[in-house]
Amino acid sequence: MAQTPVYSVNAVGYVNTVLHPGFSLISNPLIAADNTLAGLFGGGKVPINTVVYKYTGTGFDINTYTDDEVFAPHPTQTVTPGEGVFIKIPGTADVTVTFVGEVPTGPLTVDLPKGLSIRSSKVPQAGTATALGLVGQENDTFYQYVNTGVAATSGYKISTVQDGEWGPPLGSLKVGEAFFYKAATAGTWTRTFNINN
Amino acid sequence: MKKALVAIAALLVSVSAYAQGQVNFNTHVTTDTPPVDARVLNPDGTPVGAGGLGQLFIKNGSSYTALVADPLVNGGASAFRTSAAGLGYINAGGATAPLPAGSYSIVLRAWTGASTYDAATFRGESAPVTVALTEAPAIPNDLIGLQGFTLVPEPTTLALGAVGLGALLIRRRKA
Repeated sequence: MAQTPVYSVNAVGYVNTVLHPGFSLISNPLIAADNTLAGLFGGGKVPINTVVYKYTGTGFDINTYTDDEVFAPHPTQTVTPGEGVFIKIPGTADVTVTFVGEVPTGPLTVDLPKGLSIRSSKVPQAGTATALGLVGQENDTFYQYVNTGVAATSGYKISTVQDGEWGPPLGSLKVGEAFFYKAATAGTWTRTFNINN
Repeated sequence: MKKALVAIAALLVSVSAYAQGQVNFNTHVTTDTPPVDARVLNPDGTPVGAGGLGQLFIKNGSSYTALVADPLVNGGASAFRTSAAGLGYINAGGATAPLPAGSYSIVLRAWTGASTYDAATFRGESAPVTVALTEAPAIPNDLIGLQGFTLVPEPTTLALGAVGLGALLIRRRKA
C-alpha cells in the first residue's frame, strides 16, 4: 500500500537579546551549530571581562571572557535550549547578542529537578511561564531576575504556588530569558511545538 | 559643616546607585528546613485576613528601614492572604531594601484598620530575626526563623476604650 510521505520542516531563525550592564538571566533560545560559550558569546560578541555563571545545583561554574578573547577556564561549557545562565556585562553600554540556529520543535521536555535550577522555555516565544506550558506544583517558587538597566531598580520578582495558584502573579518572560526555579518535588515541563502552531 | 553634608549626600547617592539586598517575603514556606511559619493573629485569636497589611523592616535599635515588596502597592506594604489555608500569612514575592546585600536584623510589622502601621488601631511586630539579604546572582533567601505574633490594640485605642468605659460607669451611678 502506498504511504503518503511525511516531510519535516526545520525552521532556522535568529533572536536578538539585548543585555544591560550588570546581571541578566538568559537562555540560548535556538539549537545552534555551536552551543558552547565560545560559539554563543565569543568572537567579540560580548566585551572583555564578561562573566557567565552556570548553576550546577550547588553553586556556580564561572567563566570569564578574558583579554585573550577566550572564555576561561571552561570555554567548551554549553548552554542549550531549556537551560539558562547568568551573564554579567561590564561597563555602561548595552550589548546585543544574536543567537542563530534551529527552532526546537516536536515534543519538548525540560526537567525540573527538586530544588534549584536555572531553566527556560525550549520554544522561543514570549509570555508567562504558564502560557508557555509550565505547570507549577504546590510550593514551587519562580525567580525572575529583572535588569531594568538601573542597578537600584533591578532585582528578583518571586512567585510561589500556594493554594493552587501563583502568587504574586507571574511576570512575562521575553524570548531568550531564563529564570531560577525551585521545585518542591522533581517534575518535568513538557510542550509539543510545531512551526505552524 | 557644608563639606561634610555634601560628602554625606554623595555617599547616599553612590549607595543608591548600586544593587540592593532582597529577601523572599513569604511568611509560610513549608518546604524549608525549618519551615517558615509566621502566622499573625488578630486579638481575638483568628488569623489576620482581608484588610490586614504587613511589611518587613530592618531594625537597628529604635530605627526602622522599610523593605519594599514587589508589586509596589499599599505604599510598599503587602496584603495578607485571604484563602482559607493562607489566612494569617503574606506572600508578596521579593522585598527590596535600600541597602546592599548583608546580614540584617529583620522584623515583620503587621496592622489592621489603617494604611500605615503608625496610624493603625491594631498592630504588632515580630521578634527580630537575622536574615542575609542577597543580590544577583544569588537568589533571595527565605525568612527562616521568623515567628508569628498577635496584634494588640494600639495604646490610643486602649485609652479611648478606658475613657468610654469610665463615662458609662459614671452615668450608671448617677442614674
